[in-house]
Amino acid sequence: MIVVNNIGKRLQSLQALDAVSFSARPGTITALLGPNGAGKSTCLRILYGLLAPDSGSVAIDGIDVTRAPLAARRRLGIVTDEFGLYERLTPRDHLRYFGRLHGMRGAMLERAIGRVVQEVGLEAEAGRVCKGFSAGQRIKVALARALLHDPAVLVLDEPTRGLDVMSTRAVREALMRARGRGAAVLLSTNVMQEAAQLCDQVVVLAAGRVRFAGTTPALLAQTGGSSLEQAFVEVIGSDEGIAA
Amino acid sequence: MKMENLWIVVSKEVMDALRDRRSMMAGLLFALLGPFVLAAVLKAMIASELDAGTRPLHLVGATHAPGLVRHLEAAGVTLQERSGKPEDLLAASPGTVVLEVPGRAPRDLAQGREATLALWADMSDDAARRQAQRVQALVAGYGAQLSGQRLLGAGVAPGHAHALHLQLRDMGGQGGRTALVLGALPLFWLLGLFVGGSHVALDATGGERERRSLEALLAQPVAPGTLFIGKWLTASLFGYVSSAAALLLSVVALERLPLYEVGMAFAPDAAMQAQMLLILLPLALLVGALQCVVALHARTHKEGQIYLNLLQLAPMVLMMHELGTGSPIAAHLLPMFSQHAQLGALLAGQAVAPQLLALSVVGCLGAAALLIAFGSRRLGSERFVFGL
Repeated sequence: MIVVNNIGKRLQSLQALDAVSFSARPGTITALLGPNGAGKSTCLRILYGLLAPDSGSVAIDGIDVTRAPLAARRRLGIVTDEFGLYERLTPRDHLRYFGRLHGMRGAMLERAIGRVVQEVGLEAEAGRVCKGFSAGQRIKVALARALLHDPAVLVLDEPTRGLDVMSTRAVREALMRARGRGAAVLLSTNVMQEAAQLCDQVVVLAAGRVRFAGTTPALLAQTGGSSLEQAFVEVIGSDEGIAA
Repeated sequence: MKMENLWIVVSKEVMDALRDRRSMMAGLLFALLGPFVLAAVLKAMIASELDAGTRPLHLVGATHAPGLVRHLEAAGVTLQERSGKPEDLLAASPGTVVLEVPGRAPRDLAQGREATLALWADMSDDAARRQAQRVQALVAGYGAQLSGQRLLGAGVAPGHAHALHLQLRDMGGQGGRTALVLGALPLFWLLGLFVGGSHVALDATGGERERRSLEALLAQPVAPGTLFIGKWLTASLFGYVSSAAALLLSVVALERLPLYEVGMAFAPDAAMQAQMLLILLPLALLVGALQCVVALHARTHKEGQIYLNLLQLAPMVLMMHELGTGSPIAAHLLPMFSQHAQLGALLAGQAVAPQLLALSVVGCLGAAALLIAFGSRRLGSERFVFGL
C-alpha cells in the first residue's frame, strides 16, 4: 500500500510538487500520468526516499519513508528512470547482488533468480555479460531486479519508454502478474493506451499538482470525454506530452 | 552500518573490477615493469662501474716516461703500450682512452720546462669520460709530485707553492650509498598505490553516474555510507596489491644483482618486507579514499581519468621535497612524506621509531576518515546525486 499525503517539494526556484496526495492499494495498478516536467519522477524519487519532501509524508505499507527509508525500501521493488547496468556483470550477477542487498541468501535467492529470469523472459541472456544488451533486454534485467524479492509495492518510472512491441508486452504481463500476486503497482507513464489497458486507477499530475485521482471510468465521467486521451487533455488543460 | 552489506558491496566491486581485464593489466603492468626497469638500470650502472676499473689505458710513448708508468701502475691502472697515431687507435677501437707522451717530454722535464702530454678520448662516451677523468686526476697528482721535487731542488718548501689543498672526505657509508642509489624504489611503490586503484575508484564512483546505475543502487535498502565505504575499500585494496607487488618484485629483481661488487647491499629479509608493507597500508587506505572522492565528482569517465591522472603526479612532489633528519617529528603526520622517509630509512639500514610510525598512521587514517565522511555525505545528498 502506498499512501502519499500532501507532499510538497521545491527544486531550486521551481515548485515541483504542491500538496500532492493519492494512494495505491494492494492488488491494483496505478498510473501516474502527466506531461513532461509535471513532477512524476520527483514524486517517485520521494517515494523511494532519494528526495526528501519539504512537507507532507509518504508511507509504504505503513512505514514513513523519510523516517525509515531503508525499511521502506525493503518492501519496494523499483525500476528507476535510469536503469544503467554493470556491463561486465551478467543478469544473474546483477540479481545476486541486489537480492543479497535485500537480505536474500543461498537456495532461496537462487530459486527467486530462476523464477524472475523465467518471468521476464531472460533465460537466453541470463549468463551473458550485459555489455551490448538492447533497451528491451536492459529493462528486463531492471524489472527482474525489482521483482526478485517479491515486493509488496512496485514502483516504476516510465518502464516502457523506448521499447519495441514485444518488450512492452513482456513488461505489461509482468506487471499484471505482480498485481495478481497482490502487489500495489505504481508506474509513471506518458502512454495513454498503456494506462487505459493496464491500470485500475490513474493519478493525473500537471505542474506539480494532482488534477485527478480515481478510476479511468470516473475520469471519463468527470470530463465527459470519449477517450482517456481526451479526458487527459481536459484535466491538464493542454495536450502537451501525450503519447498514444 | 551492517558489516554483511559492506561485504556484499566489496565482493561485487572486486568481481566487477577483476573482470575489467584491460584496466587491471595496465595497473599490474606498472607494478611488474617499474622494479625491473630499475633493476636493468642498476645492472647497467654496475657493469659500467666495474668496466671503468678494469678498462686498459692505451699509452703511446711509454718509454719516454717510465716514472709516470710506475705511478699509474701503482694506482691500479692497467696499461697497454701502443705505437702509432692516437687518432688511428681511437678510430680502430672507439671508446678507448689513449695517453700520448711525446718524444721531447723527457728533455723538457730535464730542462725544468713544462712537458705537455695529450689525453685522447671520446668524452661523449660515458665510460671513456669517467676513465679519462680518472687518468687526468692521476697525471695531475704525478705532476704535483714532480713540481714538489723541483721546488725542493731550488730550496723552496713545496707547501709554499700550494696555498690551498682541497681534500674530499666521503662520509657516505655503505648503507648510505645504497639508500641514495635505491632511493627511487619507494617512489615506485608509492606510485603503485595510485596506479593500481585508480580505475577501480573511477568505475565504482564516477562510473556509476556515467552508466546511470547510481539511482537504482541508492534506491536499495543499503545506506549510502556503506556503499561508499565498500567502494573505497575495493579501490584501496587494488592500489595496495599493486604497490605490494611492486615492492616484492623489487626484492626479487634486485636480489639477483651483484650489488656487492659496487659496495652496496639490498637484501631485505621477510621481517623488513613485512614492515615496509605495513608502512604502506594506511597510505593505501588514504589514496583509495582520495581517489573515490575525486572520481565521485567526475561527470564522465574521461573527466575522471583526467583528475586521477593529475593525482598520480602527487608522488612527484617527493622529488622536490622530502622529510630530512632535521624535520620536526610532527612532520611525520604528513601522508606520503612520512612513508617515503620511513621506507628510505629502512632501506638505509636504519630502524624507524615506533612513535614516527604511529604518527604516520594517525595522519593517514585521520585524513582518510574525513574523506570517507565527505564522500558518504555526498552520496546521501539529493543535491549532489541529482545535480540540483
